[in-house]
Amino acid sequence: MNSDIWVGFKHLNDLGISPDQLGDYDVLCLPENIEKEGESEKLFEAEETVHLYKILKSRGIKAYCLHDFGCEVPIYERRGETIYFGVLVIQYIVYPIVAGIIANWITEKLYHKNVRVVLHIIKNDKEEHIDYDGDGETLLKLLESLKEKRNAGNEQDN
Amino acid sequence: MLEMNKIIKLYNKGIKNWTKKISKQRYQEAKLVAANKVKVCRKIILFDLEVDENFKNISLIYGIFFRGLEDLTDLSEIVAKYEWYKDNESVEKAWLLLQNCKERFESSSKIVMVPSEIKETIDSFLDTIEKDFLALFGPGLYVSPEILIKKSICSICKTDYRTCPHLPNHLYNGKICRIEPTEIGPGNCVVILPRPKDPRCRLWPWHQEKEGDGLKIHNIPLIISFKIDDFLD
Repeated sequence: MNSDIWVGFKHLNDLGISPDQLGDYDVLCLPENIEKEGESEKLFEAEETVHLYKILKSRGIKAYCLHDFGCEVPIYERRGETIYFGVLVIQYIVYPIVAGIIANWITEKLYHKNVRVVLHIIKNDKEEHIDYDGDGETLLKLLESLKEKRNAGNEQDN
Repeated sequence: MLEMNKIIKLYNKGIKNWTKKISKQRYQEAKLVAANKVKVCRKIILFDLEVDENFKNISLIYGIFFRGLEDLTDLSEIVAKYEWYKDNESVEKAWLLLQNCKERFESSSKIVMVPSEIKETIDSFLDTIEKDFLALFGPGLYVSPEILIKKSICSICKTDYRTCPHLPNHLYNGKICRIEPTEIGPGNCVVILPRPKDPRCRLWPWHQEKEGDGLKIHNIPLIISFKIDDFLD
């Protein structure tokens, strides 16, 4: 396997989930420790990852989690001030929708001071990786700047 | 068959009636007004087969609001007592009621049309109580369990939570969709933190005892199973 490949995809492969099986997904909602663990017994999903997965599917986005590939992982329910979205692999085309949903969530859930999320954004052959652990307000700005960057890129392409 | 407009008028009349009673400090009567309206909402949601989903959802929200008024009545009664804050039991109860009120009013405020003067009075009262708590006991520390849910079902359809079509915290036929754990895994822990998801599990000074260099904590609730729609249970 290519050594440049993102560790999350390597671990998915270790779990028996090949790129072919992933198919033409829009978003993969993955366990928050997928970059560290490649064994299903050690993986866990944040509660918000499951919620996000369900919301994305309801909006017509092709979202998948490990459960869809027959791999069962427990849900980790926390009650602290940090909201964990887990690891999200996002196709560039649906990025604005995903960013919008996350932004709404952060704005609504005021009691969550900190946000932890890994965004792995895929555009054709390029991959952008953001490991965020910080306050909600800064994340909102980051999501917005990525959206602007995307729009500027689209204009250039046109 | 019940008409939604008529029922909403009845609910709004109940809010005004409750306000009259509470302003005269007639706590028992005020609580009865709110409790009766909660019963009406419950009956519509659980037993009325003729009303549609929207009607049931509206009734759920009003039910949550009236449960908030019941809690607010109890809270008002406690804090009206002389030096209530010197009695540990009253403090703990008032704190729980304050959190219940905040959560219930926040959840129902977008739908329930409360006259602005009543809303302002309620908001200002809760704000004052919150500030009193901060002045008397500080921001506090809280205990919170972290739970590993191995298996779960949806509260609406009772099937697998991940695969069912119901969305978390959305209303379906007068009920709220939430995750219901059916199997909890090992490795759970309890954390002590300053900003919890649920402030009800507060660590009060009388729960703490010095033991050597450490601190012994006792009689603290790890999980409080609060549900804003508890009147449906």
